[in-house]
Amino acid sequence: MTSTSNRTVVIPPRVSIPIGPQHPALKEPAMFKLTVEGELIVDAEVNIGYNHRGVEKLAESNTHIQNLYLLARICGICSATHNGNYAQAVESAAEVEIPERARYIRTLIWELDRIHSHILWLGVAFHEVGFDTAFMYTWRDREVAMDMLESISGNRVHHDMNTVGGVRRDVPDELVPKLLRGFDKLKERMRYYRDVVLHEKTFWDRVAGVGILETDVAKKMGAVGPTARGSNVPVDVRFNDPTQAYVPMMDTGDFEMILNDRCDVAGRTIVRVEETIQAIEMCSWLVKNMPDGPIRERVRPRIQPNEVLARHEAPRGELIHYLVTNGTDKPERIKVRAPTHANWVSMAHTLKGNYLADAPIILAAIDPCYSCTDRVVVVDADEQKMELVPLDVLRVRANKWYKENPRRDE
Amino acid sequence: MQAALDMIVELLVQGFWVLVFPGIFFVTSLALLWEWIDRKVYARMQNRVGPLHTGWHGILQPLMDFLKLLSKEDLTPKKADRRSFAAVPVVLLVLSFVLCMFLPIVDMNPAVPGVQGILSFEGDLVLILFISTLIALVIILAGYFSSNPFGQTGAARTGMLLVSFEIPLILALVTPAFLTGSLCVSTIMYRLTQMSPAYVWLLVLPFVIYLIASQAELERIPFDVSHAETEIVHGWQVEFSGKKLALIHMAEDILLVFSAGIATTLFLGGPYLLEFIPLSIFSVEFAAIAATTWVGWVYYPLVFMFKSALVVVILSNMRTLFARWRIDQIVRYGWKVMVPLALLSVMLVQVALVYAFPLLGVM
Amino acid sequence: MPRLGKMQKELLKSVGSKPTTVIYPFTKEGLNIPKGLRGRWTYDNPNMCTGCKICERVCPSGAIEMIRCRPEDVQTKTGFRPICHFDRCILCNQCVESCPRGVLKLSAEFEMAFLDRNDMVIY
Repeated sequence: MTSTSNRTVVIPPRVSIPIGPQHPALKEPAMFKLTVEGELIVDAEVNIGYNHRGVEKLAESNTHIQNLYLLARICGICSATHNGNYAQAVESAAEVEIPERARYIRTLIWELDRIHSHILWLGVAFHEVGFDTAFMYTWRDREVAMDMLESISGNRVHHDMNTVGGVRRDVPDELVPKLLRGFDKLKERMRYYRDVVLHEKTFWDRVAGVGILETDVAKKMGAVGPTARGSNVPVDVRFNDPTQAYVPMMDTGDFEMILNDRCDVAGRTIVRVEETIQAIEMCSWLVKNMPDGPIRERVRPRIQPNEVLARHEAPRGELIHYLVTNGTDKPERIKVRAPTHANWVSMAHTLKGNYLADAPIILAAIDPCYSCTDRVVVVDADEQKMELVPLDVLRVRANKWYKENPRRDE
Repeated sequence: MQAALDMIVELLVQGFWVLVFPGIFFVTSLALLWEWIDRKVYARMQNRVGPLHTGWHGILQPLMDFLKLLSKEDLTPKKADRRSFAAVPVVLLVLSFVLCMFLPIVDMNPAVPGVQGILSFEGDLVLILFISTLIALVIILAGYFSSNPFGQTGAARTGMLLVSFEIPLILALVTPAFLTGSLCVSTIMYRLTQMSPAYVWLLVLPFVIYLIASQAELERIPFDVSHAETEIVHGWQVEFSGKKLALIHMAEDILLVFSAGIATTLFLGGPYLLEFIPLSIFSVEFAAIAATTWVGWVYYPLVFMFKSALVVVILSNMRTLFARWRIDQIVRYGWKVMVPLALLSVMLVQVALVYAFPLLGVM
Repeated sequence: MPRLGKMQKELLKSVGSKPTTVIYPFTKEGLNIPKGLRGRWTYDNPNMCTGCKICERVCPSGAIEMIRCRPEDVQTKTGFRPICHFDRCILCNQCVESCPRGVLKLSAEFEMAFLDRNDMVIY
């Protein structure tokens, strides 16, 4: 029995809860060790690298055309972006111009990919909050987009539409009315889901005021994509640095970058929903204004020695492919910088100060795609130790190795 | 000799009542049936099909799930306290069965007017409320005995949830008791059916409060925090597996039967349907036939099941419609909205009984 | 203004309409399989094959292999014919596109589940 004179304030002890490699909240394996005091998250530690498959090394022993298929299978959701961006990189290394119709078809596939990826994210966000009904409904409507992609490219995921020098399949004219009808239906459903997001009290209570990422912190940590645009940072490769068919699209001036200044998970949700509606409008414009002409151009398999950087706005942010070619038909070095790699450093910052119950929705709000993000773990088998290698240490070590072992054809 | 034979026959009949007909076997099959209705309504509202292949439109699916769980491997974590860990599912199941014994499904005691349950005595409403609080306590202990951080977080959340919704539940259930002046469930139901229809308006608000509070007591969406799948993997049930998990799921289903049953008994008028029609052939003669002969043994359970199924459909609709709230939001809404509303309904009943209805001349 | 139960009308509408899910292995209607579905390649014109092995070199996953014609196959001019390792095939149809003589054709066969790995080599 305690007497009233010496009362002590009891602080709940700190428990470390792992949202570990396997967890129902995560679609892909990653490790978050949260230090929790009662329900409040005090500290967060982020570890990824469970999905490293050695794609960049494997790409050095394949020809460019085989690499298109390999890179498309880095990620299932954003597969058209890796495919198209690599084709863009090889074409700018070879310094060829692809025909106009091929550019339009490539952009159409990119925008359809954005639509299906954002609807998928919306369903997953509903599921993380516990709103399974809306999850089922949004994924039902995503089937309209998947059917359109299947009728254009022949496959629901992994569209493989691009080849070096253009696209492989054409959009036949009898498909155009079906596509336009599908776009109308999708637009109406997305407007309904925007109403559900904004007006359903049980959902809005879970996302408003949660996971705040201020504008200057977002700029400092280099966030890209809807994570940054939901915090009022105006980065979007389609508007800042347009390529392919975005050039005539930006010239019409009908489309504007979508920004939101709420700086929390609700802001990112609204940005993604509005972007889906804008992408549907972009697709309608592309289908209606598609020029006639050839769809591919012959490119010789041996690409001249060159060093290029190709950028593209994937659904999750800015995707960069860095390509070094020598004179053969295989690449010398490919480096993929996925958008999630730029976004996940902000996760540890946004998790602090929120409740444990908000952890899944905060983690899902940057739309993580750990398959795209390779991180290198160096395992020393002789000395039985393992270390995680940060990026600048890796760069120093890589430079040292390349200086000691000069390139093979020099 | 004759007395001994009489006693043996009496024991056998009582055993039949407790074990088979309105007792354990009947309640278990009702529990599985309500789970099927719940899953089918949930799926249909999401434009899906629901259970389909086992039995007619999947009606045997909950039974198959129960049998499958019984045959799985049963693991106990090393740090857990073995005996208490094993005792929790059994205690939950026994408490749920005891709760269901109070429901008036068939007339067990024709001497007393009204339909009596298997167990029925003056003051059993208080015992029912006490046992449901005990169930809340056992759930908290279950999470604690798992010795797993997810389990402990789940148990803490369950504690907050159940405690903050016990008060609206108790107040909502006690309102019909105020109205009729008795604390025995069967007597409340009988007197409610004898009252004039003006009193029905007083029962609407407690019914709504009771539905919301029982959705929280059963830990279903939107009050799903204690076993939120995406956050703390299955909450306080995380370490149970195999037979123990099967018994826990069965206990939860039986609690659903009980909640729906109490709602029909106290708010929807119990197992009487045709007696409310104001023609004398129904309200007097049929009532007499049903109360005294074998017709009652078929008619009362059917009406009880029909009304309970309606309540289950309303609860499933509530489950489909909402997202999951966070625990601090639930506690805030529970204390700021539900408790005042429940107090308001009690005050309305008292005002109506003492002042308004004598003024209006209602008996 | 947020309110509760925004989706209620939609839910009630769904109760009365047909479910969207397709009971796939038992029926195939409702799947909307389009005309140009990228499935397995088929060996359509054996007499045009020159045995150049371009398909084998171009395949990203090593799923197509040129072997000598077995006695039960149609004998080609050169004595070689392609076989498909269906467990490695990624259904990209690059072999169909790269073949200079149009020997291989696209088909819509996509169901590729077998019980034994040896059954997955399609001759």
